[in-house]
Amino acid sequence: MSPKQLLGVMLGILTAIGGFVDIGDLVTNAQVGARFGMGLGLVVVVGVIGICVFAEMSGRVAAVSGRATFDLVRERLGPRMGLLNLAGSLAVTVLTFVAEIGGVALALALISSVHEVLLVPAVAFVVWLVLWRAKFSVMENALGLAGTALLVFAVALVALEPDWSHLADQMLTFHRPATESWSVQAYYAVALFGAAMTPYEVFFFSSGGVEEHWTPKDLPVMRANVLIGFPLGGLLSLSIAGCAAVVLGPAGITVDTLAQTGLPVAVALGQVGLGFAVLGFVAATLGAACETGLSSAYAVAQYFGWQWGKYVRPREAARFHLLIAGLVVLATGVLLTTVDPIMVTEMSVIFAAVALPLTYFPILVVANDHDYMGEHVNGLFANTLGVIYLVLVGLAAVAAIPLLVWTRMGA
Amino acid sequence: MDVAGRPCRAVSAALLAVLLTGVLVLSGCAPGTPDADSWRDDAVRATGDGAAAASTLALALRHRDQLTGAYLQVVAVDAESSADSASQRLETLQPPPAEAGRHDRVTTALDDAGSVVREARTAVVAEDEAAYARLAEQLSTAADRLGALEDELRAAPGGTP
Repeated sequence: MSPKQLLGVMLGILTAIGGFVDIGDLVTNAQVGARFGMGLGLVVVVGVIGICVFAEMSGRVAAVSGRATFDLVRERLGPRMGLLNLAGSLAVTVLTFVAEIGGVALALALISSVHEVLLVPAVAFVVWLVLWRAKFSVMENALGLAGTALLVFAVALVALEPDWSHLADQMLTFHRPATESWSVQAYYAVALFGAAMTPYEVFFFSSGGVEEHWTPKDLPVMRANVLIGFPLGGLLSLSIAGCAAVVLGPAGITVDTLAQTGLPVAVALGQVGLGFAVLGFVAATLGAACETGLSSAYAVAQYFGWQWGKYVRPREAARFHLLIAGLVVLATGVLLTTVDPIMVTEMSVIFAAVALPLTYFPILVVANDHDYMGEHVNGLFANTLGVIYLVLVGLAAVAAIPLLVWTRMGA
Repeated sequence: MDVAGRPCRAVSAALLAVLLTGVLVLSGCAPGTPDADSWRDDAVRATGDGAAAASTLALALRHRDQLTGAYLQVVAVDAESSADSASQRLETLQPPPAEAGRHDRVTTALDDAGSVVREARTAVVAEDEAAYARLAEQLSTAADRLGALEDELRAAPGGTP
């Protein structure tokens, strides 16, 4: 491997780490850490393995077929099933888009102390501008690299000098405090699973592969990004939960705001650490806002066969860019109703869990199709993991709404 | 196939009906609002949220040198908003007769905590750093009081686990 290729792999891994965490991960991991300690840490591990399995599959499909997810979903499953799939996945991705724009506004409020609602129009404009003007690689790499500032949570956790054996014990025994019911723990397990396996990540990953003209030669680099970058991103999620478990939980603090998520970093590392955390909040949420905005438009354009992509001139992909602009206006309108972005985030991770089978079942089907994949069709290992995870996402999808209602959103 | 399309639609409609019925049944299984158990559930949540708001601001004030002014202000404003929401959640409920005494104690404790949080937010905005240590102590005391009430509510028959 040449130094240039190695640099490319390193950059891909770093952007995968920085791009792994979004507002759903930030909020849900901090909430769970404060309430259950590391009792749901294994759910994050299971979720990260799941996203690796399906991101690798969708990346392989994109590299081998040169076509993105929804293009193949419609062709393979037919227009009706494809449309049902599109409607479900799109609803969740747009909800996540709203949550991410709200998340950027919340993060900027921590620097400016201006109310987040007043920041929403400016944030939405910036997101639209990035999606309209910025190059795909610049957008992905710059925001992904800035997102690695969130590694400060791992540093903070070490600096807090926790009882590691206690945290490990909580994790391995699915620790549940006496004040929490099993149903609430199950609700948060589904939310964490949904946050880790958010469908847009796969749409964005595979569509990005098509945008960057991946071929089978790119498979080793793609696998390195997925199999190293995503697990390290998962460690970041565990660090956020760990910081909350060590500082917020013992103080009786439950997490309802983004500001609470950053407090343990300030306690451990002071203002410099907090600066990194806030930079990471802004980069991670802005990056995810761009990814979810693009993913929504990718899905629609791919289904209807429109011209799409960041590498295509806007004039040639007019409907694609018009749709992005419309989604930005829609998200701005929703957030200007003063709806709480954290509540939107909580809803988005739960409904992400509901929509998981819509995303992952077609990918498994296409990755098993010799006509599309040739010699790169799924092997026994990939299929075994794929089927196990299909059962898991099915269970999460079925349980999500009943648990949401039963526990009153985990209250 | 058009002929086969009807059964397909019928199956789809049946599936939708089953799904909707399931959601409605499960929604119906959620506790209703006016009984004693339901009041205790709301009281547990209100005391928990109020205590968390006070504890968050106490923690932030104790580590004020490690926070920027803007960040501390956001924490204070968020805490005030959470404390107000917790207080209003119970104020709008008619307590069951058996819980009337406890209702008064809980709402008084929530109001007192809300007052301290509001005072602390005012001090933060005014950058009255001399008051921070005293207010942090008062916030912790208010949080402890609410925490004790939360424990009492959980221990009551039919209380949230």
